[in-house]
Amino acid sequence: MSRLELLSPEGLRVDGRRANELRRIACKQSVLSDADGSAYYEQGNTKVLATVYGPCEPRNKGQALHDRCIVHVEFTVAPFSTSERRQRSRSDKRLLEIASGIRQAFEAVIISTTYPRSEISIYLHLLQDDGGNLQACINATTLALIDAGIPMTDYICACSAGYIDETPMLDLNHLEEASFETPDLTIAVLPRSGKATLLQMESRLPADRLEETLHLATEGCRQIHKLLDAAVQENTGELILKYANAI
Amino acid sequence: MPDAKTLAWYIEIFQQPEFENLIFTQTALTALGNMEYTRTCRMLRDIVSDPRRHSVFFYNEIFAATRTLRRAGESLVDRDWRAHFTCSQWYRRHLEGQVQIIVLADQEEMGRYRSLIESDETGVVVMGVEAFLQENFSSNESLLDLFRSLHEAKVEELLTSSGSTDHRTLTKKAGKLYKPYLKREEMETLVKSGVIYRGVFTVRDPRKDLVTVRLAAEGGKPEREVIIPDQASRNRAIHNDVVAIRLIPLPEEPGANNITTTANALTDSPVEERCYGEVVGILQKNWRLYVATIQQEGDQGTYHLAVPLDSAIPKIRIRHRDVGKIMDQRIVVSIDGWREDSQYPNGHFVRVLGELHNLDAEINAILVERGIATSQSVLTFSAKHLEGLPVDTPDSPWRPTEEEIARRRDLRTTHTVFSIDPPNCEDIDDALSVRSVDAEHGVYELGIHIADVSHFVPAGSLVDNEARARATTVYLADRRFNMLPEVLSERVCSLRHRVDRYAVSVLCTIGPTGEIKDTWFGRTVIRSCCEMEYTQAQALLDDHVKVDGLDSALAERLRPAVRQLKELLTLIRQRRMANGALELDSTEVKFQFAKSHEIKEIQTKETIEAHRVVEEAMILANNEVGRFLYQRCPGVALLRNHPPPVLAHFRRFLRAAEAKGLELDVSTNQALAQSLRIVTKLFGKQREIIRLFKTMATMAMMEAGYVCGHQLSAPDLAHYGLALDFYTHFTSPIRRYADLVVHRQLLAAVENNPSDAYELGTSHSVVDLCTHLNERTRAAKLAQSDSTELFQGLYVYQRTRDGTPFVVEAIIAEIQPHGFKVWVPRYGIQGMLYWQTRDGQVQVPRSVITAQPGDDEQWLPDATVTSDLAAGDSLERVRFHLPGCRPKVVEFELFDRIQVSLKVQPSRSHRQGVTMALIGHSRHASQPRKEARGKRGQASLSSPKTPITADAIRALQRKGLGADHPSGPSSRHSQRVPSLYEVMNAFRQASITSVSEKETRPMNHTLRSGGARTSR
Repeated sequence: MSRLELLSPEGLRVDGRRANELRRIACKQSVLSDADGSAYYEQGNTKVLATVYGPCEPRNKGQALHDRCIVHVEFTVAPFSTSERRQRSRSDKRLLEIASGIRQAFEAVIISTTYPRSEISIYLHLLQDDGGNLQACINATTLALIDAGIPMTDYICACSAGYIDETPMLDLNHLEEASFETPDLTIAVLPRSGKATLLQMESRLPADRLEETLHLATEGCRQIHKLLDAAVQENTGELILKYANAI
Repeated sequence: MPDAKTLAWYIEIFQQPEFENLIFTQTALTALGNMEYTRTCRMLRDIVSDPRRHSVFFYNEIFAATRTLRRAGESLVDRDWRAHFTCSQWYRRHLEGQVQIIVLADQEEMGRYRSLIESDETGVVVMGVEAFLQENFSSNESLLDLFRSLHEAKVEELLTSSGSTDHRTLTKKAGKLYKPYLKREEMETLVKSGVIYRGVFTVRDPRKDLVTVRLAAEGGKPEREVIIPDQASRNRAIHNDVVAIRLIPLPEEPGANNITTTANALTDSPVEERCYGEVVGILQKNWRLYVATIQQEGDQGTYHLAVPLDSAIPKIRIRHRDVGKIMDQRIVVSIDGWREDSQYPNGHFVRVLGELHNLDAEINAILVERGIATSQSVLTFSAKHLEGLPVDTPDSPWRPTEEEIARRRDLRTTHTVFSIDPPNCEDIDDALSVRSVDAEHGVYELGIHIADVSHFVPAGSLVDNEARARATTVYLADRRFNMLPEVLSERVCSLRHRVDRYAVSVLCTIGPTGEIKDTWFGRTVIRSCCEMEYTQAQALLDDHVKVDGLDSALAERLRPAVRQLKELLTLIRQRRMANGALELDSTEVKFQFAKSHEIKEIQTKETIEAHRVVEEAMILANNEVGRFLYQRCPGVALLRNHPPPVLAHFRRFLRAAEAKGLELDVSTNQALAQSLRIVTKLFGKQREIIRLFKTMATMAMMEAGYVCGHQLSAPDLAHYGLALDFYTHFTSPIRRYADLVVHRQLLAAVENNPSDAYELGTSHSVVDLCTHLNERTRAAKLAQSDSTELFQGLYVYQRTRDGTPFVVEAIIAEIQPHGFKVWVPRYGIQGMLYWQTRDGQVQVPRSVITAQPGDDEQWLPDATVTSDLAAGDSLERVRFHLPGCRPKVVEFELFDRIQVSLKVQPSRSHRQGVTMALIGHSRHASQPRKEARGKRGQASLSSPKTPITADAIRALQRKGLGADHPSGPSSRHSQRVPSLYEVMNAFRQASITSVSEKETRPMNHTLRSGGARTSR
C-alpha cells in the first residue's frame, strides 16, 4: 500500500472514528491562578493553553483607541509539541496568520466599547499538535475570555472539516491533514445567531462539495458549543459554591 | 474466524465459495499488512465486499469491549492472538451463545496458547484448518486437495526459510540465477528521485520473446516503452506486475540483433529512441489464478511443471503427490513465489477443471482465465435465489396486480407497442411505440419502453447482490450465463406480446425537424401487440405486401408505425451524424449449430436498416436518461463516457490511408467521420477494405466506460463515438447491471421521494460500482472473444480433419517486417502469416508459385525479400525474389486479396488456435495490374479447377491425420460433418499423441513450426 488508506471501505478513519465524528474534547477553565482568565482545551491529542490578561492599559500607548479596547493575540507553539523538536521563531508567518485570524474573529464578539483606551491580551500556547490547531485555539480562547469575565455577544465555536475520498470528514487529525492535497476547512460560528466570523480553507475543494463540507463543519461547531457551554456552567457552578461556602 | 497466520497460509481456501460467514478481525488485517501480505489483504477485501459471502471485517481494536492492551513482557504476536481470541469470545457472548464461533488457528499456536484457550468459558471452538475441513467438508475432494497442496507449499517455504539441510536437497542447484531485488523503501526513494522507473511489466508477444515496460509520461518526457531483453534482466517478474526498472545499455551479445529485429516488428517507437532496462524489484505483484496443464516428462518425481494456458506466463513448478490424476487435465494453479536460485516460479495446485480439450473444461478455463467464475456450475441460480421471486408457469401465469397498475401510467389501450428483436429472442428488454400528437405540425410521440426489472429486484436483495457480482450476462459462442434468473429474464420481465408487463417508459415528443421538445419518464404498464423480428420489420419498411410470420391485419396496423418510426429516427440520426458521430461496425461472428452441438456454419453479422432504427431509438433513450440524471443528481448519476482518442494512436490508420494515396484528417470526431465517409465512397463495393479501415480507427480509440457524474466535469462526460453530451446505459436492464442501477436512479429522481434517496446511492458507492462494472464488462467481452476463437478453431478442425485443405480468401491488413497480418472476412479470423523465422531465415512456400494448397510447407530455396520501407515501420508492399523459379518475383501489397489455407495447430497446453499458411494471390484478384507484372505464370498454374489433386490427398493421408480417421477416402467427400464432441475427442487424442511422440507428428504444422523443424 503506497498511499495511506484514510478511509476504510467500512467507513472508518485511521483513528477509528467515522467520517462525521469529533475527537474527544476535554476542557477546563481557570487553570492558572494569576492570569485574569485561562483555559485548557484538548481535542483528541491537540492540546492548547489559553490565557487572557486585561482589560488593562495598552503596553504601546500609541495604539490605544479612544472609543474601544484593542485585542492583542499571541500564538506560540511549544518546541515539544510535534514529533520532531523544533523551535519556531516568533515571527513565523504561519503563527502570525493564525494569531491575526483569531484576533479578527474575536474583535467581532467582544463588546469592546465597554473598555475604551485599554487592551485585552490573549496568549495561546500549543502544547501538543495533532491537527486542527486553529479550531482548538479559538475554542480555548472563548473559554478563557469567559473565564476572564470579558463581555461578549456570543461564544465563538470553531470546527474543521475536510474532504477525503469523496467524503466530507469532520475534525481532521494531523495524519489526515498532512496527507497530500486534503482540502481542510475551518469555520468559526456564533452559535446563537449562526453567523460565521471566520472561514479559512487550505488546498482545493470541488466547488459543488463546499456546501456539504461547510454544513458538516457547522454541525460540528454546534456540538462543540454544547460541550463548551457545559464546561462554562460547571465552572460557574463551582465558583458559586465556593463563594457560598466563603460567605 | 481465521487468525492472521492461517490467513497468510491458506487464504485460497477461504476464497472458495463454500466458505461463508467469515469474520476477519482488524488485528489479523493489521498483522497481514505489517507482513506485507498486500495480496492477501486485497483478497480479504474482495471476500468482504462480495455480498454473497456474508463476511465482515470487525474492527476489534477500536471497540471498547474487545480492546486488548499489551501486557508487560508480552510479545506483539502473543498480544495479537489474545486480541483475536478476545474478539471471538465477545462475538460468542454478543450472539448469546446461539452461534458457534470457530477460531481457525495453527497447530503450533493452539499448543502455545493452550492455557488461554482452556480458560475460556464462552464456548469458542479453536481448531486447525485441516480438522475443520475434515469435519465439515470431508466429501469435498477438491477442497481437501487444495488444502494439501497449500500445506505442502507451506512446509516447503518453512524449510527454505529455515535454511536447513533438507532445503539443499530440494534445490539441486546452488548458484543463483537472478539478482536479488532492492529493498522496498530503497526502491520507492529511487523511483521518486528518477534513478529507476516504475511501470507495468508486459509480455507483448511471448512467442517472439518481447517484453516491454511502458513508462508513463512525466516531467515533459513522453510516454515510452522500455524493452527488457533477456531472462536475467526480467528478473522473475511476471506479466502484469508493477515493476521498478533500471535503464541499461543494449546488451552486446549474440542474439542481441535478434532482439532488435523482433522489437522492430512490435513496438511503435523508432529505433533511436528505444531503450533497454532490467527489473530491479517488484512494486506490486498482480498474480492471479492460472489455468495450466502439466508438462509431460519421463521423470515422475514430486515436482512437476505446469504450462499455463496464457503463454505470457512462465511455467510453474508445482508439487503434487499423485500426478497421474491431474496429467491430462486442465488444472488451476497459483504462484507462491519465485526464488533467486530457481528457474521457474514455485506454485501449488488449486483444482481440476476437466479433461484436456473437453468442451466444458475449455469453457471453464475461459471463465477462470478471465476471472468470471470458478466454473460453470457456479453460474446457475440456486433455490435460495429464487425464493421470493414471482412465479410464472404455464398453469399459473404471472399477472400484474390492480394496485400496482393504479400506481402506473396505463399505456395498454392508448399506445400500440411492439418489439423488434433477433429471431427466437427470449429476453426482450425493449419495446417501441409511436403515435401522432399534433398531426398538423408533424409532432410525434416516440415511446421507448424498457422492462421494469428494478420492480422485481429490490436493491440489496439476494438476487440483486448476485446480479451485481455478475454485472452482465456473459454471452459465449454456444451458451450464455444470465445475470438474472430465467424466471425474470425470460418470463416476468421480458416484454412478450399479448401479455401485460411493467415497464419504465421514455416518451419523447419530437418535432418535425427531429428536435426533442419534451421527454416524460416514468413507470408504466404496457401490452406489446407484436414480437417482430428484424427481417419482418425490414419487410414492413420495404413495403412488402406479405410479411412472413405476421398476420396481414396486424402487419397493416404496424406498417405506418414502423415507417413513422424510421422517419423520425432517421432525422435524429442525421442530426447526430452532423455532430460527428462515427459509423463504426465490428466483425461479429455467429455460430450456427446443427443438432448435437456441431457447428453448421459461421456467419458474420450483417447490419440492415431495421437494426439501425432500433439502435438509434435506444441511443436516444440512453441519451435522454443520461442528461436527465445529470441534471437531477450530478453527484451520483451513473453515466457512460467515451473519451476522445489519443491522436498518436491513429498512426497505423493514417499510414494505411497514405498507402492508398489518401490524406485523412482525424483531429476531431467530425473530421474522422468525414474521413471515414471518404473511405467509404472511394472503396465503394470493396466492403472488406472499408471495414478494415473502420476496424483500424476503432483500435485507435479509447474504451468507453461507466463513470460517476462527479468524477469528471460536464464536457468530459461526453461520448466521443456517438457524439452525445451525456450517455448512459438504460435500455437493457435484463442483461446489464448498470442499466438496473440507472433505472433505480431515474425512478428515484422522477418520483422525488425522499425515502428513495438510498436508491440513488452515494457518490462513493457509485464510483466503486463503476470500477466494478467496467472490470466485469471487459472480462465478459474478453471471454466472449476467447470462446469465439475456440469455436473458430473447432470449425476449422472440423473442416480439415479429413485432410481436405481449407482454403479461403483473406486480405492483408498490415505488412510487418516478418509477416503479414491477415484477416479472413468470411469467418472473422485474424492471424499472422510469417515469412521469416526468428533467426532471420526467409521462408517462402512453394504454393506462392504453384497455388497448390499442398505446397504450403515446402520452402523455395534461396528466396529473399525486399520491402519498400526501412525496418520499424509498417510496410506498403513486399517483394519475394525467387531465383530459379517462374515467376522470379512475387509481390504483395497492403490490402491485397490472398488465398490462405486455414489449419489448426495441435497443442496440449494451449488453446488450439487457427493458423494460416500462404497459398498465393487470390485468383479473383481485383488488380489486374499485378498479374501482368511478375505473376504471369499464375493463371496457367492455378488452372486446375479442383483445389486438391489425388496426389495431394495421398500425401496428406501418408502424413498421418487421415490415418486415424476410421472411414476411408471415399467417405471424405460425403457431406457428413462429425459432431462437436466427436471432433473434440479426436482432437484431444491427436494432440496428446503428437506431443508425446515427437517424431511422428501429424501434418498440421504452420508455416513457422514447420520451418523450425527444417532448421533444426
